[in-house]
Amino acid sequence: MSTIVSPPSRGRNWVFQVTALCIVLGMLLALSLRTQRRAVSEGIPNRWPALRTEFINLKQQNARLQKDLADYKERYEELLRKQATGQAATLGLGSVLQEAKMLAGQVAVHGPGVIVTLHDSPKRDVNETRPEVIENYIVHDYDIRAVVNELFAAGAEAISVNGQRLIATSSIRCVGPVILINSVQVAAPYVIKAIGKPDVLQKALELPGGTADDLFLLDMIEVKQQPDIVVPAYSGSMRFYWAKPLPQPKKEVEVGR
Amino acid sequence: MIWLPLIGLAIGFQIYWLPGLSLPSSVAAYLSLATLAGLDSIFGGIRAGIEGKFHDDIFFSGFLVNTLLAAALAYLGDQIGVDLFLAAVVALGGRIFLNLSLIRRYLLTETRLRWRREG
Repeated sequence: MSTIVSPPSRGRNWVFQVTALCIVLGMLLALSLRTQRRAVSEGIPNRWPALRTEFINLKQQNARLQKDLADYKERYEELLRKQATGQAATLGLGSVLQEAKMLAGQVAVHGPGVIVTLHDSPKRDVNETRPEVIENYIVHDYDIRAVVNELFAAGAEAISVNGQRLIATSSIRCVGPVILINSVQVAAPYVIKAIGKPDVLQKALELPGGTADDLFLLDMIEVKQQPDIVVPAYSGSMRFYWAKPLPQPKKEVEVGR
Repeated sequence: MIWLPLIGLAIGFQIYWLPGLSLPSSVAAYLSLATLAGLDSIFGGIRAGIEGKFHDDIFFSGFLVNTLLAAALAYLGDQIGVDLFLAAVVALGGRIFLNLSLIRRYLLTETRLRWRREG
């Protein structure tokens, strides 16, 4: 059988070839030993192939699941972070919106301030009949405007006149015998509620030579400090028919960062 | 002369042992079986050499094919649920012992002959 393949090696030549393969076998042996040790250290049973296979499968599955778990954990953390920042953003936006609404008079507000009451002068001579004289003893739209203006100048943050909240587009004018505020008729006495630092507001009105000086002279005005007053929200409709916002350069809205 | 294969074995062993190389532990069993097959081929080669029937092509191809086949068969056995691992161990182990005993006899005979010649 062997003679068919090739003639046998002569002499001791085979020893070298065996040696060559012995080197390879040595490598194989070392690799096998190392791997075996590793397998033992990892607790993989060498024998019982079925068990071993199952064990390895379970181990791999376990590793996969662990990786999944890590992934999920990471994702969870990310979602938490996102939620947190989202909440902060919402909170920030909410407070910005609330402030804007307060500024626009869209919400009722309360706080310390003054209540200014304007009424026709009690010092009017009842026998006086000349309209141009009588006129000086009654409250006019410009009196209210002057008082309101003074209060705003003194730092009032919200003002209402007879329950009409003054907003950016409010007007105070007279039409005949009545005064229109926000196009709503109001009648004397005019109760002006202003929220702000009470002292400052009162002093601003009582300033000698100030705008309200005449009113004080004629006893047409009363100023009372209040620890807590309520200024109602603007009740009319507020729509922009003509005004359109100018496109603004993108500006980062600062929200809770 | 007879020590050369052992020296080669030691050299080859050191080449892989010292760097601490290892394969994934799942192939440990197959690697062991391949080693066993390699051992079988080596002993078969030695025996053939002593008998004067050494063929290098059979030797090398036998080594290569036996190692690969032993591992592959054991793996296949594991996959189909038949313990071919054991079968390979028994077959290879039997051949190794047979070859070893034959080598031992030849060596004994050789030394005895040498003694007689010298004596």
